Amino acid sequence: MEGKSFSYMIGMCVGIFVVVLVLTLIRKRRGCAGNEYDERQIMVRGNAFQKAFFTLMIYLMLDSIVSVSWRPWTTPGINDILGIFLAIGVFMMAAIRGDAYFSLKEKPRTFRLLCLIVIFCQLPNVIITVHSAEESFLTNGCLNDNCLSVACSVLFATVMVAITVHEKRRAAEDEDGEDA
Amino acid sequence: MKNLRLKAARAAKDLSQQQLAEKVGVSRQTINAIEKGDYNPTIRLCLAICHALERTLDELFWEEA
Repeated sequence: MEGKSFSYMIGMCVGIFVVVLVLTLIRKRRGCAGNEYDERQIMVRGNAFQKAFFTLMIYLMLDSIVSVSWRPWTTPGINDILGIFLAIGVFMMAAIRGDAYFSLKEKPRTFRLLCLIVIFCQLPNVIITVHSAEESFLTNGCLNDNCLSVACSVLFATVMVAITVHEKRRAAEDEDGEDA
Repeated sequence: MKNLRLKAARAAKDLSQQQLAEKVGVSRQTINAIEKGDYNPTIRLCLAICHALERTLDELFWEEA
């Protein structure tokens, strides 16, 4: 994060705030109550949290081993953020697989749109980094904060594909007479 | 183990999994998982299903030893 101006950080915070605000307004407009999950979904989500937690533990352990025995592979802080992305990804995939990511009232379509927006917001940074002579994904041979845009895009693209595939599978099950 | 009695009771009431799920306040996948024997519901959900299908717990969920 070194070298980034204060206005850059403020811009990032404002961006996050705007996304949260828009989502809250959409939810209010549609009259969505709080997230409601049934008992099976709560159980599946619990297992998903557990998987995500252990994934993060294992990642941090491997990250420490690599950093100590070889050399740091990212600039300070980036390895932790990548680990959090990985854990979030594991949670989302496990919950989606168990039909427990979306509450009883939520629609996957809205979430897919949000994923697209996130990916679209990350693209400019990726394109600038790829084409710029000054910017790069590496600083002294270590992954820097520019790689976070790629990681974020990959995370949301993977989740979007997983949701789409799962939805298609569910639709096929419905056509087959509700999974006889 | 598949719960064919639940499936039969639902069919007798002419309800789809989605309709039964809405009646008892769970997702369709949960009803599907119960019918397939992939999920053991709590007594609370069992009772809700029994009320929705107008059957007793024994009729839908009791397993003979």
